[in-house]
Amino acid sequence: MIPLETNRLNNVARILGDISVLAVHLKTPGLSNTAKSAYYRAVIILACTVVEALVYEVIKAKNSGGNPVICSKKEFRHKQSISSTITGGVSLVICEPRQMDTLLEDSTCKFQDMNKFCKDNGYVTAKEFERLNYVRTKRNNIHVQGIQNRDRGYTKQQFKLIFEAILFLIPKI
Amino acid sequence: MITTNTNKVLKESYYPAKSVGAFEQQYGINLEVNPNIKFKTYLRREGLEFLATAIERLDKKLHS
Repeated sequence: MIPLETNRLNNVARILGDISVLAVHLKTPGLSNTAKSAYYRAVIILACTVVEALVYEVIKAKNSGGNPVICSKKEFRHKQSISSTITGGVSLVICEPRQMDTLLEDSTCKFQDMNKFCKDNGYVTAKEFERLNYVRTKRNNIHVQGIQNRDRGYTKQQFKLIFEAILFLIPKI
Repeated sequence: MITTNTNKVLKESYYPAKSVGAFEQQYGINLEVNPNIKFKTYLRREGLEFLATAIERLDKKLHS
């Protein structure tokens, strides 16, 4: 049985292979800028998924494979409206406030929360955190739901910036 | 973090650190270079230093 963490790292390795084959195709002579942007969009989104997986792995490694609380948010449950005849026409609701913890392995654990957790616990520097935030924003922009502006103009420079995050994360695992 | 008994599995499936020939076979492409050179060496020659370094670092991590 291969531990989950190893499987994830193995998948990261496979994705780096996939990125490589696309990067190699980018060297094709006579490739138009539109085609280059299309290839870069693909490698950038793949690289973003690698960064997210590595952030997860860094947290796992720094917590001896445990499942730490990544963030804690207040939720309001059992909401009950109070009759307007009692409140004098004012709309009032009573509810039970409850602190809800999000664990690393929860499906609700977000990339943004993991990045902040890394920063707050000193796993990454402020500068590295900014880079992780750049990666997250880039990933969100490429998502179809996030496309609001012209979806082109992806470049090698953006690709390199995302890879810098990969390069500083790997040694932290 | 990584147990040693998984190394065999990793070595079998982890191809980016292998030769250009192994990579070509995996993806069914022809890079028209010496198939015996390391794939990461090829990437460096092609100006993809950062990609080669990432592969190298991950390779070390997986096989440490």
